[in-house]
Amino acid sequence: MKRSTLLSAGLVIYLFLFWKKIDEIVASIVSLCSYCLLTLSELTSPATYWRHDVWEFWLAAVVWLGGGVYIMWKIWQDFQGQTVAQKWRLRPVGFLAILAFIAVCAPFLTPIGPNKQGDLVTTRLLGPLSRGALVHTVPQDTEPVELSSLQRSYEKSNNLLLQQNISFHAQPHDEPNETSATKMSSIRFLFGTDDIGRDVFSRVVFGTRVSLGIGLCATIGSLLIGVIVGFLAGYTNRALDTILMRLTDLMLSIPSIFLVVAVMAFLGTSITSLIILLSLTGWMGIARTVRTEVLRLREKEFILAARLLHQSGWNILRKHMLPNLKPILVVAATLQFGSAVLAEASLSFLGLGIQPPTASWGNMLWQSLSSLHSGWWLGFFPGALLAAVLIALHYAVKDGVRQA
Amino acid sequence: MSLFYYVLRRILEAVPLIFGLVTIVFFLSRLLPGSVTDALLSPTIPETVRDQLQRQFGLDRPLLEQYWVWLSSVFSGDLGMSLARHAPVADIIGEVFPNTILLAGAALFLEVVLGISLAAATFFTKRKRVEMVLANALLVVYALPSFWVGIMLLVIFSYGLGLFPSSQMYSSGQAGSVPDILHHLVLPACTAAIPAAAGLARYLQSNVSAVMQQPYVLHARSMGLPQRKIFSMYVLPNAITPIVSLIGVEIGILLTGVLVTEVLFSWPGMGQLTVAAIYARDYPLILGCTLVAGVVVIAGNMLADILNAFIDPRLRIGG
Repeated sequence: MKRSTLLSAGLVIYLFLFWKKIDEIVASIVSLCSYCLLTLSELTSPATYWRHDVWEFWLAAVVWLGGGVYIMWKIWQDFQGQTVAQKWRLRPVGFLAILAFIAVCAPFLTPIGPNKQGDLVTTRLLGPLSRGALVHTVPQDTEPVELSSLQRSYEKSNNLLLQQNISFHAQPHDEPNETSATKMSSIRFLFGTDDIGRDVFSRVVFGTRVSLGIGLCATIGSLLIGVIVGFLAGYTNRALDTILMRLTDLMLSIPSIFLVVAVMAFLGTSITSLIILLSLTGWMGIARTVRTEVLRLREKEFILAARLLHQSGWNILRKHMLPNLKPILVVAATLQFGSAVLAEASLSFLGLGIQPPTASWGNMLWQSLSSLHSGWWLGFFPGALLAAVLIALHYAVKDGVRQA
Repeated sequence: MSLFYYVLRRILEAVPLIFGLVTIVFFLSRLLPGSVTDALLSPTIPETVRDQLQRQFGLDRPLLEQYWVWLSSVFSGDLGMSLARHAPVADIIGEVFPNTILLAGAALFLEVVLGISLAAATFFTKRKRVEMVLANALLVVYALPSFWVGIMLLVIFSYGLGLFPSSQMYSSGQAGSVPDILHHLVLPACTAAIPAAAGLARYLQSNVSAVMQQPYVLHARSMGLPQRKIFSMYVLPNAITPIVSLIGVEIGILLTGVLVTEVLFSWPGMGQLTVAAIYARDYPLILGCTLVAGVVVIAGNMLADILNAFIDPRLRIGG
């Protein structure tokens, strides 16, 4: 009963967080549905109506719906008298899950796009919680010719999503001059605005996406390399073991950030090369733990039995080793995720990672340096969120080690 | 195995590591797109000039030969010429290296002092609740990214209270005065030291609780020695041994942390030099910096192992 109250409260908060953006959510769903209908009904290629900058709204809409359905389902389950498998020990994991949700649903949580610039003179360096005004320009009807109603609704919802008719400025001192062509609404800059008049809150929320996404991809890459190298070193012959372990030692002895910095200087900065580099410099710890565990496991009877049955090495790794490696892999991957997020932030902080205008926590900190003396909030909020993620990861690792 | 052989073996083990480092750096510079001549010349320069420059840098010769030339020049201390500053890379690095050592040394000192006193503080707290709060606080501080700590220190103590200068190593016109340098040193050193100190304290703490289980501590306790004496005479010396090797590893982390700290505080050291070199596309300087940083880390690990062998004779026997 207590849980269902909690979940109901959660649902209320969930709906409360999103009610203001309900028109955008509806527009995303309309856009997604009409896109599918258009490609199906007219049998054109999907690329005809494809707009690459609205797909994030579609994804957010799907996850938003999914999140709502999930909470409702859990409440329903509770009322049915079944237990919800929810452990409070997983608090840090829950926090990270919420952050991941925020990352995907970023367009619905932010008052304005991350790169949308307000009026440069009036919205520059406004403090946290200050108010501003949004101006919606009502688009002139330009008599769209020969468009079906489906096409028209698709175009209309896309225009709404991309905020083409919206601009913002600081709260005006005189009365708002509403004309027939404009409509005013108020906006609150929760985390203030930066030195060129962008909303810091929106940028931090969108930065979650970049920072966590890159961390996740790099961790997956490191895991792949680490497991393969560790398995090869531990399971096959001694010579390969020696070579691979010397290589691991060598890679560990070079301070990876210097290496990454040097390679980034040659390769140029792109998200793909950043992910590849972070995976290539992060697999050593995983490889070592996997090797130690594989050395222990290979002496076990069930591996011997599998070998007697002429199972291939790949099958042994997949069916017999990996299930036993899972607990330590989870811990190692969590550790690696933390260091990948931190490495991305450090690189972006040096101006070598994610390039502006794309927002990531690291490059927001980097850009804050020039106007830090007049706006502490520019440096505080992105770093605080980064710190919160790292702290949550540390607690998760602590619990994970205790369980493993 | 005697101490001499242990030291010799440890030094010999470092040689292939340094060799591998030099090799990696070489192949990085040659295999990655964007050669030196592209950085020096504009695309409109005719091919003949480009070829001549390539010949001058020795880039037209076979890769293995280039590798040999690079090896022999690196081991004789010649890291090439900087493209942007028109000076030998070794000289430029030699000029700023002491500044980095100063910063890293100050940070290491602060880290050890803070770490030991924090560990002692958790040891002496009587109440369970205080101990728990302290342990959690240490974990939280340890997880903080050092550059964010730096930004917050900068905002509070430099821009807010005006206690410390926000950048550079000297005030203008006061180059070389020791109090002035120390004044500038406080914030960067704290930035690098605070998260690391929390990590050290956590590590020490777990060591201390392991040592507390030992029979000699029980003996000291049953003799009625005061807590302070037990801590300083029996617990700390035994708990601190692994710290020496941790500090060896820490040199690498500190160097990485210093990279960011130096940029944040415009401290004229290796980190700032590296970043400046990258912005200027000064490839020989970038490679030189990477090489020096790698060598420092390898040497740090080696020194820590050797020091450990001096302190703890058990290590000399085992593998």
